[in-house]
Amino acid sequence: MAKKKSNVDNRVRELRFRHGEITQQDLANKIGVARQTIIAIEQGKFCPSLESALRMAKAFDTTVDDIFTLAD
Amino acid sequence: MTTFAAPTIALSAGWLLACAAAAIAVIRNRGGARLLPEHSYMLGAIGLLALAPCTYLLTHFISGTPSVFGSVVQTLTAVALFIVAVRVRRERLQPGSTASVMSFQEKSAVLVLCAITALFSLYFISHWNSAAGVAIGALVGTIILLVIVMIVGHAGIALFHSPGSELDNAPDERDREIAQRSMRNAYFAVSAAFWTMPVLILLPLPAREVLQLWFALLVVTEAIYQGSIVYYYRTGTV
Repeated sequence: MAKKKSNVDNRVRELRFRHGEITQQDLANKIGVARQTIIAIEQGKFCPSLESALRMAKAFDTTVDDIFTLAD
Repeated sequence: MTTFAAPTIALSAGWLLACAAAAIAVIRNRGGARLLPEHSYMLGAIGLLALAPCTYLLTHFISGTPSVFGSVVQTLTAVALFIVAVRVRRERLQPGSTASVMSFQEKSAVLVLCAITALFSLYFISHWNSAAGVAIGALVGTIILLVIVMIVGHAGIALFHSPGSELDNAPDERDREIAQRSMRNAYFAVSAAFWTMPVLILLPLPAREVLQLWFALLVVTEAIYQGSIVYYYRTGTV
């Protein structure tokens, strides 16, 4: 099955490793979603809701637009 | 009354002793004060393996005809418990090593899709032109079989799903979005089925075939719903 191309790029994987190699499960617990949802976000297969994006920004101590950017 | 040859009795007794020795070894090598879940699974598997030849001998003794069905079921269950024990142990020693990329909801959708496609295809191929009484009996049988497959299948998925803590998770925003999109796709199929009904009634078809066709459209609708769930989990919702 061909993977759909997201219009939004993200740095979730990079930020996880920059923040003490936090695991997908730990990040999922902080945001309140399933581990598979973090996997889907990192693969660009799912765009999180605004609430989850804000929670993620808080978890990484950064801003939403630092994590998510519009693809060219 | 059925009597057994001495070698059969001796072999069974030897097997029971070997299983007892294996169970004692598991208990003695547990490496702690209490039994861990992996040890419980392992002991359950050994117990079932020990009982398998006894079940065969007992059914042979009672009915007079040899039947391996019970023993085979016990052996397969024992193998499943062994696999679970190994996975639980691996997960305990290396947390996250057995984590599945698929969520429980996704596995469940795959199971439901495969089950309804296989069972109802079989029903429609076998009983499309059957008499009403026969078709209804077969339909009830198919539905009962479907329920059994669902229960056993979901129990199996839950048993092998790792990490097990994910089973308690409520559907999150991705699960809900996928369910909503899939429901939308299924709605189009239901809608098409509904508006096809008047056309079907106008056609010179026997009432039995119209009912079969209408029911087939409902089955297709459910297949579209479950298929959409699997599709969106695999390809994404962006």
